[in-house]
Amino acid sequence: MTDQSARASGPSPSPASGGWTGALRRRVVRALPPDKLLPDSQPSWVASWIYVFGVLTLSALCVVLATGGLLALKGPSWWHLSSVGRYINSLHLWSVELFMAFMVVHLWGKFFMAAWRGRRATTWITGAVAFLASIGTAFTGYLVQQNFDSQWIAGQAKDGLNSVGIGAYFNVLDFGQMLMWHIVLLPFALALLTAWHILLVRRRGVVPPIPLDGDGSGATEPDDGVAR
Amino acid sequence: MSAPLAAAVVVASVDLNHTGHYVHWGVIQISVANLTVIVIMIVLFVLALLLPFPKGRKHDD
Repeated sequence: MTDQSARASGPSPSPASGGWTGALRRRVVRALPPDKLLPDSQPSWVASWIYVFGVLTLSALCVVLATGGLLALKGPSWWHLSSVGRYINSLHLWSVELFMAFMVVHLWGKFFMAAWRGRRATTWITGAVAFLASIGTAFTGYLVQQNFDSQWIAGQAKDGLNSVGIGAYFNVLDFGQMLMWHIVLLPFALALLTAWHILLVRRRGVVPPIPLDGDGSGATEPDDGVAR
Repeated sequence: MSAPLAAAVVVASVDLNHTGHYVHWGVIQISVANLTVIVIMIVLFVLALLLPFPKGRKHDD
């Protein structure tokens, strides 16, 4: 029996084997076991409308990305001149409006329940940075409308950006550069941050309510994801 | 607030296809459209805290 066939039919390899892919797999499964990654129940405190705004934000983001992808595929003549194009363009705008509104209500809720408790600081930070990335994405979206409104916004913004010294690298009067920021760089950053944020929510669990008589650290509260 | 003024505020917040209407309060200046959106978000936030959440199915298995 060759070494290869012995390995295929023999006992399972030791935990340390498998090279870098095996090590990565073990690390990922340890951090996010399947029952944490895709839970089928949530703690009792999640039964409140305030917890719905996170998934509403995510749903609106899906519509934003889908309609934005369609606009990118079909081009400016389509979204300016055809009725379907104008409809998708409006859908893109209004899904962004809902996305930002839902995200801010989600932010208010998480701020007042101190959602960074219990080793959830990175979850909070990724959410906050995703919010900043969303503002940048929305801003560059307004800059690429190709109308007088976008020209006015760019004319006003350039002074502010020049005053802090980044106008040479982020030139709001350069339509091509702003379009690339809007449809490539910022959506890519936002998608990465959102995925990281959601995986952290799965890993650490939804933050429990602030206890009435506890220290409020969130570290000693039940966090097993079991419905009660 | 008189009825015509209230109606004007509602119409101004819904019909955005004209020059914006603004509310001034000291150094604060905000368009009626933006103020309406902020008020709606605050109302949503309060309702989300107060309204009872429907009970889901129990998992007996």
